[in-house]
Amino acid sequence: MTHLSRLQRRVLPWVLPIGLIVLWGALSSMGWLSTRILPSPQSVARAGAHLIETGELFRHLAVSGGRAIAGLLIGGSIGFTLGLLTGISRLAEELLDSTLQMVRTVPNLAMIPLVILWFGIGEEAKLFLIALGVFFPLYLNTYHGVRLVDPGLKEMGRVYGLSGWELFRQVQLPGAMPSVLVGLRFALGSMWLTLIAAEALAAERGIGYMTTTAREFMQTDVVIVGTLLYALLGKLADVIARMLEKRLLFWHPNFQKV
Amino acid sequence: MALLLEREILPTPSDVRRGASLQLLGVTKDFGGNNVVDGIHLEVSPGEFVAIVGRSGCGKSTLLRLLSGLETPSKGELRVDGISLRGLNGEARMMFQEARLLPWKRVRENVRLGLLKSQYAEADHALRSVGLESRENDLPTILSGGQRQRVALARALASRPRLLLLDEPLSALDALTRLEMQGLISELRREQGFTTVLVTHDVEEAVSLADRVIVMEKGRFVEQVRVTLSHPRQKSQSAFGAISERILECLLREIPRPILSE
Repeated sequence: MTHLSRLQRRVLPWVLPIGLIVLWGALSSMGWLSTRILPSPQSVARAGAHLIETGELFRHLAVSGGRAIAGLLIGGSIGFTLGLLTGISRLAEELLDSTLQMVRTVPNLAMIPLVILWFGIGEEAKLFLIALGVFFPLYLNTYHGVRLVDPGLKEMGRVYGLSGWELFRQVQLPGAMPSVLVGLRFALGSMWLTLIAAEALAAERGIGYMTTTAREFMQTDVVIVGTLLYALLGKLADVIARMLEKRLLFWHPNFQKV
Repeated sequence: MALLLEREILPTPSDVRRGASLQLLGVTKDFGGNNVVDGIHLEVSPGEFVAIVGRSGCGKSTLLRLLSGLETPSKGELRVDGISLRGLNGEARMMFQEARLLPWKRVRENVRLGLLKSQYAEADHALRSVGLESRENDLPTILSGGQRQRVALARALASRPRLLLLDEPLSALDALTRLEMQGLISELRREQGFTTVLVTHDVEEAVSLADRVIVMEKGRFVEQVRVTLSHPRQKSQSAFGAISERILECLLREIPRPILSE
């Protein structure tokens, strides 16, 4: 293994994406790419700039972002709470876990027909799908996280006078945190996937609506802007998850500065 | 051991508190029809240091867990200061084989675990008494094994317990650190007067620390030796060697002799 300098480590990740864009631009300007298949980077940039100027982009972005966050909060908090409950209480585990594990095996997008019958194609349906999509990763990882807390630490806590809420707050919850945050990452991935599927289904606003409409008018450049936006949002969510990990898991050897 | 000499002495009323007394009356613990602890009778007077030695699986750790209240006897009675023990033993603090520090809490917070705000000064004092006040803001993960056990000792003593239970806490340490820790435990015990029960398979450790060494085998006590040598004890002393040898011989004997009474 050769050691890479700091500069190299900064620069290298950018080589491939920038190279691809340059290649894309070159192929477009030589006329090898049909604009319907893949418009030039310039026209995509122009389409993006136009969407920003008219304010359309932010309107759609806000709607999609709002849906994603609302779904995450609803599904995530239920998953987290139930995960804690089944992790801590044997009774809750016996009562809930096998049923939840069974429901988990149904891909959440397979619920679309049923969800449409229940909620129609409005906002509720989208929120329900997203909430369902984030529920399971958070539930499962929270449950396992609580279960896998070192029993030696729990025993120590009891000998040192902790019980009930204090034992939970000082030992079980922080011990489960690494696993909970892994769950959050999976949940974020599932959140975008479900959002895109739900918005493609039917929407009057949002990035999905923007791209679907653009497709009908053959505006490939707008479709590409929409796709890039999803990528950007996904990356943003990942960055936020990483920041949370750094903050909450400052003590974990994996997150300490080398 | 410079750190012991530099220790500041806080005038606290708990200095005069004595250790807890223990009485075990035919205590038995059975796991699945197997008597891991088998009708043990034992009396420990306040401030006494008792070491229990035995091979692994002889039931000594279970006995310690019974004393802490983590396990309840299947038969017999366990009294602390003459009162029958129910639930966790509030007078006791325990040190385990591993330090069991909470990795997400800094050293100072680990020592303060389970204490009230009014006891924090005691906790900080305990950390000073093990010589680690300079590491109070560190996370346990960056400490050495010996330092972690010193923090665990400070945590055990922070609440000024009247009974200290030691479950082979030094067995994973290197020889030098172990000697240092033995000195520290011995010193702090003389200063604070708590009762101590140590479980170990290290005969020399038992002899250098304890007032009484008990040999345990298959859930029963098979031998008991009083150690009256003055502290600090040296391995080179001939009496030390003789006692160690006697206990070791007893441990190595294949067929256990009948139970000895007090």
